[in-house]
Amino acid sequence: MSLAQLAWNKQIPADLRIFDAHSHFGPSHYTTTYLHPLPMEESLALAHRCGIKRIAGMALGALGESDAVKMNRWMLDACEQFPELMLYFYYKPMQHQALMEQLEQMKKHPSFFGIKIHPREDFSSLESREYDAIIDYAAENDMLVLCHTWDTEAVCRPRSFERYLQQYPRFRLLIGHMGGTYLGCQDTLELARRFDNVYCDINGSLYSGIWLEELVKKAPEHKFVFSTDETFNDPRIILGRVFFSALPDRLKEMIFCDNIERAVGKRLI
Amino acid sequence: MECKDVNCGFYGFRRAGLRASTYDEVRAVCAQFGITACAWYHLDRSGAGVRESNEITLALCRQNGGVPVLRLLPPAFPLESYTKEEMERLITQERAVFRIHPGRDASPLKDWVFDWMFPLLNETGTPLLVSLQEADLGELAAFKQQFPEVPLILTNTTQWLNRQYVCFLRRFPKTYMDTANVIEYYGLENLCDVVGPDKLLFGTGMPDKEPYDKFFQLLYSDLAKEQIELIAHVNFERVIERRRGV
Repeated sequence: MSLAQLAWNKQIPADLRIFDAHSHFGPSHYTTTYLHPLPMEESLALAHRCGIKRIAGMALGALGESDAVKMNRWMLDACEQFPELMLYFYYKPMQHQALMEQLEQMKKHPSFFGIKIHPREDFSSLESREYDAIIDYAAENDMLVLCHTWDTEAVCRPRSFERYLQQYPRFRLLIGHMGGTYLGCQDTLELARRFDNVYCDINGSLYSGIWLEELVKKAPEHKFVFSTDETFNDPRIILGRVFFSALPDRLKEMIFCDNIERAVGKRLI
Repeated sequence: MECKDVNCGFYGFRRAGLRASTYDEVRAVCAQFGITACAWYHLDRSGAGVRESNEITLALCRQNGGVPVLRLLPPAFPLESYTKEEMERLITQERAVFRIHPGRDASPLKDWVFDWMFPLLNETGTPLLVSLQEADLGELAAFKQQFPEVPLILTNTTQWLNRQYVCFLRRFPKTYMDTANVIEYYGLENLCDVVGPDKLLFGTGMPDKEPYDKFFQLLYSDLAKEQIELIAHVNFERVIERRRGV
């Protein structure tokens, strides 16, 4: 049976490797929209029930006007308690010095996965020089950077990364949501075609007007990475998008796990 | 799992980026996933005009089944809008429902804009669809106060307005939303708790988005079987197919 048939019959194979490369956990006072996080145990149970084996997440409470140092510590504690979790270290320019010191320590932890930035939530911009230091550091240390992008948000458009990608050939970038909109997707795909270390986070491109089967034709197949955007979005949305698409099973397996392993250069599951 | 899709459209041409875009292609996807009925909407604005696009929808629904969703323009210019007699016939004989585009068609949801049309929808209990991407919930609330018998279906909701649309659905009877854009974490379960499963209609949003997520969301939900059936098809039957006067 195909993966689609197995998923339809609620028989997702136990040995199918699904890695969620973009997630958020924990308490927050996020008020722009109502979010409905589940307790950690229930949240992980839901993910496992749907076939997700491992998750790279950041502390939701680190976004915006909050202490990212404290919330990174919270997330690392969660990773130690739940081994299926891996840490996205959250960086924001407004706490640069303290976060760089914390990163120096946390990068050695076995649960460390990469760096997450979200210019919109942190009142900063990729168009300024505020992220130069962290991107320089990430490139130097071969760390993956995941950035929230949305083409209609001037502070975090995918195309703003072009200068960094030209400057740092080793810079590994996962473009969150692929820029969200149709134009954002087009720019993301162009960067993925031009730069070896650019990867496309397929979460968020649901409303780009490009079905997944068509999306994967527009850049090398190993560039597309599965993620859920939990706790903003439900993991079942993007799981269904991959499982029930008309893509061949081998490509689904690449999207679910192989491609992110290639991006970070190590086996994750 | 039987599903009936309240938010299913098609284009008159093959559109790049969409695996399915024409009526036949979208219909094939519906068949593949067990969608047994759709509220069909012609998305193509090119060519002859709105009335002609609506005629294509009507002809396809007569031929193949399904509920025609007709683009409704206010009675401003006779060449593009329906007469009262035409609209009465569409409601009673064609079982048509209507969709308005307050933004895209520059036709705000005001009684003085749609004149006799809203009272006719109210009198006949004919459903009206509107995308939350285009509508103002304050205007929708005023509309519902004035025309309480019109079943109003919000489509293409956005999680960024979830506080507002939850309050709206709870406040006004005969208001519904489709599930096409319900992507919020634990959203379907949470909406069932706060507005009730009888307010939710299965919608894919095809062909502008894929339908795949909607099946997985229901199949792997924590909802009771009865709640899933309400969302998947029973509410569609109650609100659209077996409505008063049909």
